[in-house]
Amino acid sequence: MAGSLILIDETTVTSGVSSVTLGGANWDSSFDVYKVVVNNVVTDTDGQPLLFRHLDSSNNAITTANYDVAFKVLRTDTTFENAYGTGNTFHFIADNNIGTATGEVANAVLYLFNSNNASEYTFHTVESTYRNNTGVLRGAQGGGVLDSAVVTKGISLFMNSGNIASADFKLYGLVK
Amino acid sequence: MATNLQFIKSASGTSVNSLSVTDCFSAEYDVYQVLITKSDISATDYAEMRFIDSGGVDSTANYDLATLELKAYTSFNELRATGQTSFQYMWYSTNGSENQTSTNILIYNPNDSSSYTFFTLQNGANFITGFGAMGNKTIGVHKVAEQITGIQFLLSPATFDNVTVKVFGVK
Repeated sequence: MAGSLILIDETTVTSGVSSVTLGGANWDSSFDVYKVVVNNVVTDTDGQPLLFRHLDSSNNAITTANYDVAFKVLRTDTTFENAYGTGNTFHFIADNNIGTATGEVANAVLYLFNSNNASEYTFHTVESTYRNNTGVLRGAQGGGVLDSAVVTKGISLFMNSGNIASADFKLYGLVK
Repeated sequence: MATNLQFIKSASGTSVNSLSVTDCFSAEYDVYQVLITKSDISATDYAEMRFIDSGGVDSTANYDLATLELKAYTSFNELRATGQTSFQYMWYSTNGSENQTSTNILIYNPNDSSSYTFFTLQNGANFITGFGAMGNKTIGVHKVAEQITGIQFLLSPATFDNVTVKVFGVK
């Protein structure tokens, strides 16, 4: 039976790297919707958000101020937050500070939409769960848009500062 | 064309207050998708979840959870809990076979003995008799670095009239 979730690219990090690219040279443009699984991300620098940027048609991260986001932050310590912003230069996966203690890691699933359409913006949804550097469970439920009508070919993931110490990242295409 | 979402096992129960899905996690996958495709319960209640380790069902006080309840009939509601003996608020239902459930859970790293086990949950909507539709978005963490081998869903004091759980691996 043919599958509906097709693995396109995978990176396992076992020692510190400043960023990880999913897609890029390995991008497969035959899908409308893509799924990104972010698993067990450990930072080497205490107190860092996990971020991502879209890649342009030359496989370079897009750094212009065209990233808009809105999401709800679920958290175990107090009232949930409405997190939002326009004209950012990146998107959030874990918006708060991941720590370096045991269990202070990030996990998430993203869906990417319209990546291959040069006349549409690239949208995403995010669903994350992580513990911050004070051991508080938090998670984002929401999404965002790159408000620039360009082709995108995957994403670059990185900590706000420092390196990704270990993690596993997978990029899938959803069969039409 | 190979599929990267692979069915592992399913489990069902009738007139039970708990359902365990044993030995569904392994080194084969890092991330699992769990679907609750049937959940008829005997009385209004929250379904709970616990993990199963080498010693059986873990009921130690190591479960943290936060959930946002999205209600069609009133304002949304937040629930938070830390250091509990289960994930207390997985989905909410009233009695009635027509009003249950559409729950999708992603579980991260249960097999990794050096990692905590996290999950996210989305419940599209249950129909709450006398009120209307209610769904929820939930996150949770089991704060023990150990290997998890299975899951248990439970109710107290209600029981499941019928419950069906399906487990998939994300390869």
